[in-house]
Amino acid sequence: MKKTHIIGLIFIAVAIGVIISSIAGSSTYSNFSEAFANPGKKYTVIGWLDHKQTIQEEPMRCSFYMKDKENNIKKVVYNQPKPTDFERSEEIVLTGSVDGDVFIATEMKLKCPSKYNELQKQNQ
Amino acid sequence: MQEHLLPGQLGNALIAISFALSLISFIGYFLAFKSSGEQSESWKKFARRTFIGGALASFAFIGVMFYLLVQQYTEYTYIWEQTNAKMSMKYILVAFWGGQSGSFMLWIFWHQLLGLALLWWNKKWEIEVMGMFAMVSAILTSMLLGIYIGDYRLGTNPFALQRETEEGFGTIWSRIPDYLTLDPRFETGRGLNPLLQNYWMIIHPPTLFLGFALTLVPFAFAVGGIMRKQYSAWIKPALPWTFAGIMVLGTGILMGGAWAYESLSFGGFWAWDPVENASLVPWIFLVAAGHLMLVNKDKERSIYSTLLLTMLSFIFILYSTFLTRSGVLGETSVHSFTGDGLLGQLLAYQLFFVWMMIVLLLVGKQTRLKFTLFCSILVAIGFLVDIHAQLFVSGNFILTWKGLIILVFFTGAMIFMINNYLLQFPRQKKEEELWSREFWIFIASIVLSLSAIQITIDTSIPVINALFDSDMQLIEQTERNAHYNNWQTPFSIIILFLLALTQFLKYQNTDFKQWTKAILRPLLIAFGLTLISAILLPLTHPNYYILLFTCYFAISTNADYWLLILKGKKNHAGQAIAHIGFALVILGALISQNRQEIISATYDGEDIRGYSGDKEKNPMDNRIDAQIFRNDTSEMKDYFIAYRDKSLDEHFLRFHIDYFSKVPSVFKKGDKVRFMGELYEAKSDHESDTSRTLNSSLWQKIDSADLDTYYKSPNWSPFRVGEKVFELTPFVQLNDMTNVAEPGTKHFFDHDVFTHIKYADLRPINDAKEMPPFRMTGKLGATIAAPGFVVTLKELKGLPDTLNEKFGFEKTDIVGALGLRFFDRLDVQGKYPVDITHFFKVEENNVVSTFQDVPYFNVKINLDSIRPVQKEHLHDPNNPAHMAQHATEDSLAALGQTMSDTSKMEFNMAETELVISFKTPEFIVMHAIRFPWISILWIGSIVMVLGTALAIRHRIQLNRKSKTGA
Repeated sequence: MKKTHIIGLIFIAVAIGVIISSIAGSSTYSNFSEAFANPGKKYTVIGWLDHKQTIQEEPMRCSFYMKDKENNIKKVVYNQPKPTDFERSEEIVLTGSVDGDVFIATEMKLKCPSKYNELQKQNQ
Repeated sequence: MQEHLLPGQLGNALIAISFALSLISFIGYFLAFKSSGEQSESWKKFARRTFIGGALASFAFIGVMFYLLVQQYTEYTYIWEQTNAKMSMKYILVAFWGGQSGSFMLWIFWHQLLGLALLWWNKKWEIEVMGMFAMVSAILTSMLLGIYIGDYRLGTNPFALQRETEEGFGTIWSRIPDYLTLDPRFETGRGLNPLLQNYWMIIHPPTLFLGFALTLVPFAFAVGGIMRKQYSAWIKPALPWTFAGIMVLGTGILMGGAWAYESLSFGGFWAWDPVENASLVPWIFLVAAGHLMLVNKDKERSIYSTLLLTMLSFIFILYSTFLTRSGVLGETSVHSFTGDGLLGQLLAYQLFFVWMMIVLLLVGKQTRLKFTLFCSILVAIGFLVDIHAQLFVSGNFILTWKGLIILVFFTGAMIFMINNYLLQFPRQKKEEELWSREFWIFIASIVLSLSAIQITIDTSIPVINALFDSDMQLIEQTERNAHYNNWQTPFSIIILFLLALTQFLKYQNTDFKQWTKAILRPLLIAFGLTLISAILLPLTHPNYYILLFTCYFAISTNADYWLLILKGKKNHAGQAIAHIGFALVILGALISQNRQEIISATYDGEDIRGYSGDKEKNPMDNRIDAQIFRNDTSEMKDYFIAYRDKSLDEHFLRFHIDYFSKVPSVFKKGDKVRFMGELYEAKSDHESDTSRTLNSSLWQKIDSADLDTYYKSPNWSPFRVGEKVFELTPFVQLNDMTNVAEPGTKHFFDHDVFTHIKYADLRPINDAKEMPPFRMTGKLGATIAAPGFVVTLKELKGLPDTLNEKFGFEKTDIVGALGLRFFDRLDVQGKYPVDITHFFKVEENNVVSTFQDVPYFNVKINLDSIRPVQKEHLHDPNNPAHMAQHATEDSLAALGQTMSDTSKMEFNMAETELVISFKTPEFIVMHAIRFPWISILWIGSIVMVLGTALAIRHRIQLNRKSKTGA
């Protein structure tokens, strides 16, 4: 066996390892019913802010209600101050786990309407 | 005011001219390649002229764009998006390249400039190299065309007027002739994204895009080499350009890191963000290719790998463009652009270049035709079928036509390439010697490729999702560093180790004994340095010690080589210096990241909100941020910090934080202090040692005292405030779009103190110096922990009507009394309770009460509302949320009823909760990190750039010599 063959084999082995680790390591989007069935396990849930219930704000924490894609509404506690423009967010992507009857979010991403889009809406 | 149409029309015409001339130039060069002799010469001259014409047209439309930006003609969409009357003129350049089209223009600018430079210096390879340049010119300018071919729009027109865009077309204002004057929205533009208003944004993008443009040079030379079947002759002229690309692109990437560190608040210089990764990958391939080129420039060895890696670095530049500009990354990255409808176009160019690379690497006309036919069939299928149609579903795996086509393409391409390489490609039968420099540099290039592949795959998850309709997620930000570090640490270890070992290996073959002798001295030095470093700054994981050692080893071998063998001469020293720089970058990154310390974490591990329980049970705690009240000092690791003031400077709200040194406390006999909820009195005059517990031989516990004595005694600390050391002003950019917190950093030689604001009152003027009230909720009997105190909601009673007037209410009022008990956070036994009674009245089902001071605690409270416990209507999807709202109103009505009937508060407390508002003095929540030795990283960056520059100079000199010699 030549050196190049050995190197080639090692190369392919590591490359496959990378692909497997990357696919195995990535979690998928989920919903509240799955997250509440497995408290403590980490999930990412997409949903919308429930404007009908109050957003509770503390210096370093906020809590609110979110509706997921299956229309389940759950209380969410986020361990950070309420982001600016939170009320205007169009979509919320939460990562976190369930503790008791609340979803505790460790990471939250917002999709906000851009100012430009609003300008266009005004036009109509 | 009238629209300024002329510059836009001129700009559009120039884009079209530039595109057409580039395309014609490409055809001209192609014909020059196909023909020979006189005819070829004349085609070449023609193509050269058209290329120069195209380049000049490009510079002209770039000039037009600048003119529009300076004039701020807001009728143009790009101008309106990028500029603002408030914006300072120094950011005009940032406004230019801050958007999608402008950054393409920046790329085009460098690309054309490089093209002209190559015309000047590389006449020998003109046809092939300039042919490629003309082709890429056409492709880049096509991104700006904005013309419709049928329903498909090719490119985004940077000179589009707002009334011509999809959003603006047909609106009412667009039909008013004088809309610029009448409509206030056109007075000034929206303005630049606040994150970009930073001096790094003036130098980072041009450097990065010059790097992008430079990667095409080796690609074009490689294409030339293949077309002339001179598989290694192209390397020498391409070498200086390749290393210029390595230098410039590397600098651009590091500048991006410096920008992130200086002005983003995530606390670091590298976040493995998809966009950062997208420019790192081509750099890694370029480094691998450049080193293979160096080794193989004089012989026909490892030719295939050299060609492949060289071309891959440009392919990955295109891929990075595809990722960041097509919109596939979506919300996964902070700095990607939105789609803008360029997806199809970018994908087509990407696939075209992949096809071209493979065709060029295949030997023999027949094979090339077969492969092209194979690709054409796949494309035809793609157009004929519904590519989103599902063919096969198994669990989470969905195979659609698009996924199948891509899978077939990649498998087919692999088979074509491997088969052709084994049977046709001209290669050396003899293998490299085991102890030759060539062999180990070849291994290094393989390891670099693997490192790049790992980053590519993890960054491409959104693309994989799009292809296979899968639902995989990019790794969460908080886990991203760990994931990438796990993979990249071993790769870095191998690379640095090879970088050390190959320095003393010779080309062809090395005498093993001599080599071990040469390597011994630097090896011992590296061991010594590692030992000292590890003792002074222990790391968290054994792997990091190996990495630490390889860093020192790479530095010591290269320094040894430079200083003792080259005797410090700089002629041949470029590579050794560049390698030292690279090792320093990794060393600085390793130490500053691994040894970073969150200094805003409270020293006693207490949650700033007052939780003191088990960390596991309180996932919502915060022990990593410092809460500082205005005009108060708090201890933070090696300092006392004080939030002195805030000031508004344009739209920057700056927070002035003073840092004081810490000195031991001095006490006099009879001084009283609080410690862990108890009161103590000093037995004698003394100075504290650094111990965190009170020395019982110096202090006498006082078992009981009145509240006044207890609460007016300071908390015991072994330290008191010393002199002011420095000031930091982290700030918040107040902006219409979003407020952005930017850090303040104090640089020392051996460490940085990095701070940013996490929470603050953003009203620039606040005379009361109070925070906006915040609300907390609890049932009667509950204990609420808040910053600075703990409060128990003791009791709630109705006040008999006869007493109303005594407490300042009307006789007919419905008055309630809420009993609250406050504690010092550390007074766990509850020895010093402060009781208050808070009166309120109920009016039309609403609680009415005013804020009341709480003695001894710097806080005001009022009862906001009483409401039924908010039930979770969550398990019932049919229960709409407004039901909850009604429920609240109904039961408050019931509450009012009960109270007026009996004048007593009798209702089911088990189902009611109290919402209490608190007002505290103004404070900020700040995050602070100490990065040790991050200066090594920046020094390493500069050393690496200088070293590479020296190496390039040397290479150019060698090329000149060989030319004049020949």
